[in-house]
Amino acid sequence: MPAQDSTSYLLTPEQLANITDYSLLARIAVHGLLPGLHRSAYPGGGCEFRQYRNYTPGDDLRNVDWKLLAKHNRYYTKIYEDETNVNCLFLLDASGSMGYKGTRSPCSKLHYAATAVAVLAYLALRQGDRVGLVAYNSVGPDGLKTNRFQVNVPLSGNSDQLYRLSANMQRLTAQGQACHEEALNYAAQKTGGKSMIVVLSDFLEAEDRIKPLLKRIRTAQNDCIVLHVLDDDEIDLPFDQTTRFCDSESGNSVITSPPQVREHYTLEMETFLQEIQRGCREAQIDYLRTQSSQDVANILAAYLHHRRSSYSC
Amino acid sequence: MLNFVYPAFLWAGAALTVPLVLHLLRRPVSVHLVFPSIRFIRKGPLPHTGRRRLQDVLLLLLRLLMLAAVILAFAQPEWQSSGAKDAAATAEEEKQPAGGVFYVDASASMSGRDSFRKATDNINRILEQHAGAPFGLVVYGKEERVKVPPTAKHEKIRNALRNTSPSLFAGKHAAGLRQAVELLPGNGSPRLYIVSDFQQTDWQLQDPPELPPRAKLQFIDVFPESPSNAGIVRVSSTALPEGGLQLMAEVLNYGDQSTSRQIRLDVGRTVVEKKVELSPHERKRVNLTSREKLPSKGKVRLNDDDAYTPDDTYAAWLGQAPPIRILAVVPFNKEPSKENELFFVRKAFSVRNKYDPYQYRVEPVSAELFFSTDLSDYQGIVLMGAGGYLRDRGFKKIGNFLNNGGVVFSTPGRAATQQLLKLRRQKLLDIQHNGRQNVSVGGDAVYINQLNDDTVLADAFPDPHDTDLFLFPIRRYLRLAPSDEIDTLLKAGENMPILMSRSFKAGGKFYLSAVGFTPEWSDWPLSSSFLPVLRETFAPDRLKRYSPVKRINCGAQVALPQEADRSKKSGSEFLDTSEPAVEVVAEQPYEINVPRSESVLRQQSRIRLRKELSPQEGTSANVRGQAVQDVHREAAADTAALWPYCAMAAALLILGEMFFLTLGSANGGRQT
Repeated sequence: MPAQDSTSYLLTPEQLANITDYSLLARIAVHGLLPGLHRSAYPGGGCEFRQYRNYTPGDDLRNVDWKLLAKHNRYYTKIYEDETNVNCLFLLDASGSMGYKGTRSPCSKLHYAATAVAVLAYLALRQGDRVGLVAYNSVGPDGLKTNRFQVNVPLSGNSDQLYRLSANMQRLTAQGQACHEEALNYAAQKTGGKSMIVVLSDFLEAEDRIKPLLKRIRTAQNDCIVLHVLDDDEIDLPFDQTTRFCDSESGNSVITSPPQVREHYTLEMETFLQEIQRGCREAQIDYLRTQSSQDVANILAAYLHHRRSSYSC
Repeated sequence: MLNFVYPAFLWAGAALTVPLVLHLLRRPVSVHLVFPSIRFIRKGPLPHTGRRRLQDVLLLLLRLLMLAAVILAFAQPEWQSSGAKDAAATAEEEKQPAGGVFYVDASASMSGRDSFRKATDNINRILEQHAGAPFGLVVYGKEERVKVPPTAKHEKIRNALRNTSPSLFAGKHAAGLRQAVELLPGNGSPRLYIVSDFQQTDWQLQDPPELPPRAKLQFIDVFPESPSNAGIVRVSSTALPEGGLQLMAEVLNYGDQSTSRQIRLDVGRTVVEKKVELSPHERKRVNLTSREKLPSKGKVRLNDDDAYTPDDTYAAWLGQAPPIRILAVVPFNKEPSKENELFFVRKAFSVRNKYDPYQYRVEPVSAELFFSTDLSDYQGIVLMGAGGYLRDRGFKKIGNFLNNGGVVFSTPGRAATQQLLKLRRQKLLDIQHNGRQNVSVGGDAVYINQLNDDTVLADAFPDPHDTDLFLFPIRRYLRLAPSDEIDTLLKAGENMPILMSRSFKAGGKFYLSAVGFTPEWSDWPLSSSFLPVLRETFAPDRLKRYSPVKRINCGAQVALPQEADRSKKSGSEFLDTSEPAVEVVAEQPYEINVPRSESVLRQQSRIRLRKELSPQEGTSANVRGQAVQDVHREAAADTAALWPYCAMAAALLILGEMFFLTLGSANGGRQT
C-alpha cells in the first residue's frame, strides 16, 4: 500500500518509541464534539467534578446536589468538567528555502518539518483529535503561480488520516516563495477558533509580517505552536572557499568569501532569530527552534515534556 | 651523443600530459551554492588568488620535471662520446690501419638461414678495406673449431672461413674470447671483432676475459633480418593397447609473428602429418596417432624453413620404456624363509596389463653382498628383513640412495630390533620398537582398520572398504612408535602403525612395514590389496631416479653405464652426442638433440657486453671509415650512464614538491 510506504518514509520506529509516552495537549479549552484529552469549553457531561454554583432556573435537575439541599436548605448545582477532542491544523512552509540540505544535516529542512508534522499528527490522531495539513508556497499544485496551496488535507480524525498526510507530504517539493498571510488567514477561517495550529517554517524574510498574523491567530483563541526549522549552515555559515551564493527563492546571487563575512552574518542571523522569538512570546505562542541536524523525535519529546509539565501547573 | 638503453620507456613521456590536464581541469573556481537566503550575506572582498595561481604553476612544473626525470631514469640514458681522440691521432690511425682478431660465433644458432654467410661477408669486407694489416681468426662454438694466428695473408682467413660451419652445440664464448684476446698483437691499437648473432642465452659470460687497455672492441651483428623461428621442444610417446602409437609433440613459436607449420612424423613408410597454428611465443601440444607398429627410433619434423632450422627436427624414442629396476635384498643364509617373501614381491611386480606401459624388474641380492652392489642403476630397494644384517656402511649407502631420490621398502625379519636400532643411529628413521606381538597364540588376529587419506595410498584405495585391505588377518606384527616426522599410512588394532614412510630430499622415500610379507605374519601377500600397496609405493611418477627416456643436448658429455662400458661397443667411455640421434645403452634410451636454448630469438645487450669485456671504459672503439653496415652503432662509444643523475633529480624534485605543498598549506592555514 503506497500510503503506508509514505508513512514509514517519514516515521521510523525509533522516532515513535521516543514520543509514544507523550501527548499533544491544548493549553486552552477547546470546542469538540467527541471525547478526548483536552479540556472542553462546555462544562457538564464529564465525570470529573469541577465546582459548585448556585442553582439558576433552567439548570438540569440531575446536577442539583440534593445532599447539600437537605443539609443547608440551599440549591447548589454541581459543575463537571468535560474533555473533548481538538482540531489540529498543521501549516507547513514549502517555499524554496525549505529545500536546503546542509553539509551536516541528513535531510532537507522540508523533509525535517514533514517528519515533525508526521510525529505530531501521529500523537494527535492517537488521542482522538482531528488533524489537517496545509502546505503553502507561491506555486500551486499545478505548478502555476496561484493562491491555492500546494497541499490541502482537510481536518479528519479517520484512521487513515496519517497515511493521507504522509502521502501528500512525500509529494511535496520546495519551490517558490512562502505566502504566510494566505496560509494563516485560511487557518483562522477554517478552524473558527479554539483549535490548535502548528506552523512549521524557516520564516526567512518574514519576521515583520509574521508577528501580526500570529497575534491574530492567538486572538481567535487558538492554541498555536511555532516550529522554526533551520539548517546548521544557516546559523554559522561554515564554508571556507570563495562561493557564489544563489538565493533559493529570489534567484539573486552574491559572490563572497565566507570567512570574511561570517562574523557579520552570524550577528544578523542572531538578530533575526531573536526577532521571531520575541514576536511569538508577545503573542503567547510556543516557539520551538529546531535544526535539521538534530533528531526530530528527541526535540519534540523534550518540548512535549516541557509543555505537559507547564499544562499541569 | 645521447643514447638510451631502453628507449621504449620514452613512450611513457605521454604520461606528462596527465598532470597538465589535471591542472587545467582542477584550476580554482568559485563554488556555486544555492542557499536558503542571501539576505544576511554581504558581498565581501575576495581573497587575493594570484599568488596561489603562481604557486600552482610552479607545482605543475615541478611535477612535470619529476615525471620526466623518472621516465629518463628508466630509459637509462648514456652519453657516448665519439671522437675522443684528437684529429691528429685519428689521422695517424687511418694511415696505418691496425690489425686485429675476428672472433666468430659458431654456436648452433649461427646455423640459421644466412647468419654464418653474413658473418663471412662482413669479415671479407673488412679484410678488403684493411689490406696488408695482420688479422687473426678464432671460430668457436662449444669448443675451438678454427684458430688462425694474426697474418697479413688474408687468404688464409678466407679459406678457413670457407671450410668451417657452425656446430650443433650451445656456445661457450668466455673460453673462445680468451683465446681471441691471447691472439691480439701487443703493440698498436688492435681490434677485436666479435661476429655473432649475440643470442642472449649464449652470451651470458661467466668469467669473461679482459681486453688489453689499447685494444678496441667492435661488434658485428648478424642477427636475422626477419627473425621467425618455431621448434619442437619435446616429444613423448605412448603405446596404444590395440597396437600403434600415440605421439605428443610440444611445439614452441619463439618469434614475434604468428606462424603456420606442418608437423610430420616420418618413420619408415609411415608418415603422419598435422598442421599447427602458432601465435607469437605460443607453446602448443600436438597429438599424432599412428595405428601401425613403428620402429623404436624416429624423427619428428616441422616443415618449412625459418631462421634456425636445426630445432625443426627432433630425434624421438618411440619404443617401450625401460624396466624399473628394483633390488631385493634378501638374507638368504640367515633367514631362508624370506625366499617366500621374495616370491610374493616378484609376483606382484611381474603382473602387467596391456594399458600399463611400464614394467618392473626385481633383482635379488644376498644381504651379505649388498655392500658391493652398485645402486646407480636401481630405482628402488626392497629390504626383506635384511636390514638387521647390514652393516653401517650398507646403511650409509641406503642413505645416499634415498637422498638421490631412491625409494626403499623395508619389511621386518628376525633381526628387526637391530634394523630399527641401526636406522635410528644412521638418522634414517626414528622409530621406537616396543617388541614383537604374536597374536595367533594369545588372542584374535588384528586387522588394518585405518588408511591415511593424505598419503600415496589414497589414490590406490579411494574407497578401501570396497577392497580386502581391511579383511586379511595379521597374526604377527612389530609394535612400533614412530616420531612426528614419520607419516603413518596404515594402522591396525588400537592405533597400531602397520605401514610408515619418511620423505627425503630429492624425492627419496623410505617405507617401513610392521608386518612381513609371508603367511607366517599375515595373509596380506595372498590378498588382492597387496599388489596395489606395493606398486603404488614404487609408481613410476614417484620414482625420481627413473626416467623412461633421457633427453640430452648435442655436445653434452654423458658417461656410459658400466654394463655398456663392459661391452665396449663404441670403444669410448662417453656417449656420442655430436649429432641429433636416439641411442639405447643398457636398455636406457637417450634422445640427443640440438640444445633448444639456441632457438631463442633474443639478443644480449651490447652495452652490457662491452662493460663486461672492457670495464676500464677506455677502449675508444672508433669505427670511422668502416664499410660494415651491420656493425652496431654502439661500437663507437665511451659511455657514461646518466640514469643516476636522473634518479637524483627526481628525488630532489620530490623534496621540492613536498616543500611547496607544505608552504601552500601553511599559507592556506593563515588565510582561514
